[in-house]
Amino acid sequence: MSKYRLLGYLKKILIILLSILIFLIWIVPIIWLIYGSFLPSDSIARSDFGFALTLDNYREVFERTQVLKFLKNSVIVGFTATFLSALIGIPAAYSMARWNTGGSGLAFWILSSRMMPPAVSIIPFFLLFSKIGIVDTIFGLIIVHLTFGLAFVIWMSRVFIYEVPVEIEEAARVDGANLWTIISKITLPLARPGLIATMILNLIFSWNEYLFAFSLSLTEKSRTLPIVAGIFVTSYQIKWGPMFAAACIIMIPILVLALLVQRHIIGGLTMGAFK
Amino acid sequence: MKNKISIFLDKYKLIMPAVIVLLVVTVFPFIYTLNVSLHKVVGRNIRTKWPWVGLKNFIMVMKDKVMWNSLLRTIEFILIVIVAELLIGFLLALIFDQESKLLRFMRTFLIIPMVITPVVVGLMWKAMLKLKGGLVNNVISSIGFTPVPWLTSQPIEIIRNIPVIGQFFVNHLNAKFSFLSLIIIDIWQWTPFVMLILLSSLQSISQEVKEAAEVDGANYWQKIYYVVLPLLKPTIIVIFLLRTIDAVKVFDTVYALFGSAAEQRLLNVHVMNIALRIRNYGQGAALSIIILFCTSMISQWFVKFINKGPINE
Repeated sequence: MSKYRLLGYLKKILIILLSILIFLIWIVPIIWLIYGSFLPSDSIARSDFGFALTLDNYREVFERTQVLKFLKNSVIVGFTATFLSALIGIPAAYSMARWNTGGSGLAFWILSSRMMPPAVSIIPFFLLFSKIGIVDTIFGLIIVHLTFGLAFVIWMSRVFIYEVPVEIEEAARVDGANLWTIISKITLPLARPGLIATMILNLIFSWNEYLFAFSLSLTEKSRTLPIVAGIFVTSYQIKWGPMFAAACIIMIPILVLALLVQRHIIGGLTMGAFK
Repeated sequence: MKNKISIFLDKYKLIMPAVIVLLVVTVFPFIYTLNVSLHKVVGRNIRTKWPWVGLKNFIMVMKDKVMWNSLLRTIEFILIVIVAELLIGFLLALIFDQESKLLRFMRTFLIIPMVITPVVVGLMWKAMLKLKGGLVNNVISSIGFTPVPWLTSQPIEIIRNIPVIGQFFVNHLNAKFSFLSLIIIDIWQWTPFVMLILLSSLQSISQEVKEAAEVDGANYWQKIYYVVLPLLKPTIIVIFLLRTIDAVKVFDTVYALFGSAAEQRLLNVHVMNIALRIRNYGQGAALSIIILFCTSMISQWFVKFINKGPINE
């Protein structure tokens, strides 16, 4: 019997060791990126873990690029697109959740517009935006982000609103509350955690968006943050230090937001197919 | 009766703004793309008259060799990464399927690769996969192997040395290190995602089912094969569809690693290149329409599954 117990312990230790090893494969690159951002470029180039930490890389990012402007653009685009998506999307989600408005046809349309590869809309957006003169503007980018954000917010909020028991709303209706009161005083507060998570996820997706940030922004006027890291990569040379620092500036806010909504990330990435 | 009318009004009042915005940002650009694809639209005549060319742009797309190569590469990429992610993800899920505080702690951090900015992932790996002094090659040479030229289009020796078919793989099926790197990066980025979904599905299988199999004398692997895998089938199908949809979208990491080099292009990079570098908008629109048509079939399939609600609550 004790032989079996010993084997059991060994198995458990083996599994723990194995899982730590696996964990390291996924976490070491991230730690290296953060740690490397405080090392001189040539240490990074040699993957040389030194202890001569410096803030020069960050200083160079701030001095050589308009990172603060990009950051501001990212924040404006992300928050505005998310706010508009919620403002337009949550009422629609309510309608779909409560009365199945539009049926499966509308549902399919919304989901498939979320799933189309962004590259296929480069051409229409680029040409249309040139026609009306909003290429290379924050406004244009907000429209693009709204395209993907609105579908996401409708789809996700629909599920969270659906989970609010309809009986509570009925009770309020009997008491004479109108639809507006019911939605604003009962449904939204009850669905709030889920809705906030949806908005944070949308903000993350918006923040990460690179394709349009790069293809619709001709000058620095409307560039968003993900562009900044690539500035240090040219065909002549790569400045590893500032590149790592820029990458960290892009990544750190996402890490914070992601840990806030970690319970909802799988749901968000699978459009609610899994929880 | 009055109540019915007011609900009817309410439900459309609430949904109309969203429907209108969606029409403007999705249907209208689609019709516009269709229109562009039937005309000759290039950098020069973008603001003047567009001559009607019928299906010529579509024929040009079909004759475009780089397009076929990118398409093949994209399909190959999708198939390889999904199979690899499902296999590795499943093995990892089995390992992580234990009650332990440490494992739960580690699981929390495994969400990082799937949410961080893809272009950052690309640049991070560009640094790690460098031939000289990259983290990966430092580890490889410290355990006594020769460094690997990850980011070049050199053929993968092991595959080339397979008799008869080896050379074919190198010449026609992208058996090159640059392609392998793309695959490795995608596996790094998305295996935790597949693993976490499979893990929660694993944990939703009731203990009684597993115990019943044990009573019947099944060993661990028999239990996995005959009991667990069949129960995971719907989950695996949906992961397959989701990962396909996402893998079709891949752009940022490829672009961060290789720019728009024709040898490493996936279809999206090719679209971007036709549109913004060559500025042949007509042909790019034709290609966009074709891609959109193919991907909407996949999403239709996915919608059928997802309409039934979450797979495992």
